[in-house]
Amino acid sequence: MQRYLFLAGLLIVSQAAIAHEAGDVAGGFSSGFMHPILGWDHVVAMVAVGLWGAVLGQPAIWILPVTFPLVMAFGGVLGVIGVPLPGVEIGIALSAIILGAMVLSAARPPLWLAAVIVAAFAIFHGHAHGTELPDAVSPLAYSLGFVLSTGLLHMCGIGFGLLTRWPSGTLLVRAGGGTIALAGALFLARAI
Amino acid sequence: MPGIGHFYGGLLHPVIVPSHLLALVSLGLLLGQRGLLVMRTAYPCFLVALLLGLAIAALSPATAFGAETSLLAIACACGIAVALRFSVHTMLLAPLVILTAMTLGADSGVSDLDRRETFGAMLGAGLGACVLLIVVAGLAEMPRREWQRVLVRVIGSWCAASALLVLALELR
Repeated sequence: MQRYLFLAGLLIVSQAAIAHEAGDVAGGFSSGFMHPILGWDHVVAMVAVGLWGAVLGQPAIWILPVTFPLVMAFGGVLGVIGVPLPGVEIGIALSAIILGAMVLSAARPPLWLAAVIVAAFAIFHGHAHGTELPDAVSPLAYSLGFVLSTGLLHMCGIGFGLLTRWPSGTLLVRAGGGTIALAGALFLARAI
Repeated sequence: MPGIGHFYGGLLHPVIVPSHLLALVSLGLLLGQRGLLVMRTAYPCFLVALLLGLAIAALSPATAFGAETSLLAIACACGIAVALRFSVHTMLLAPLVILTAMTLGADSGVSDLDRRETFGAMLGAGLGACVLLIVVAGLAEMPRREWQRVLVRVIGSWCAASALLVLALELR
């Protein structure tokens, strides 16, 4: 009797087999979303990209955040397929130093050069994410999460950078760039 | 998804399956970016191809072979086209829409359900895919200011980046 009750219980709790299951998608998404946010080296560099875009003004304010994810994906592909990239952590720390310094000095290089600088560092960030991708429970949800949070960090930088409309805001933004460069120096010291 | 019934489970299917979501959002952005004329042509093609795909799924409910890879490749191509604001020719866009819809439909099969429940789940999945595409394309078509148009391109670049990474993982 107990066996029949157990089998009946299994029938009640069983569900229809669907081609896909929602389980693990949420976990993969949230872990991917949190990955750039929990790493301060990623956070400061992503915010610096948005800040520098805002300092450079139109059209860089939007071109840099479009360039970054596409090139980051290329770096991610290198990480996924196992192509070694020497000094990833150093590259990430340098990205914070260089981008922070650009914001601090309100540097205005030609747009193509700014895009090349940002793209070069995007490869290091992408490689770091891509190396962890194969271990994710749901790689697609993980990648969606980290691309989205990277984009949102850029938006935070752009939002903060829009303070440059006011003189005191410009000072604040440049101070933010200096803080990012200092943080980058700390990350570099730790990486070396 | 337990507790919400087969129809509503099907309705949410395109939203909770990342590859379906990514392909639909990327295609919707591309259609919306191209404008109303392209949207008017694409919707009937999408609907017919989706119904065909769902019919295939009803006959063979197992996960369609290579569906995820195809959807990711489509999402990547559409995302890059959106990010670069690349003007895709209608002759190229039509097969892309048909391929996306057929793959989505064929990959939305259910098993272990009776005929009525299967119909409800697949009707929901088809309706969910159509609604999502129309909403995303409509939102992408609406922007009139430059920064809003660039926001569409930014989201396109996110879709392309995400799809490209997982595509590399699947093909390695």
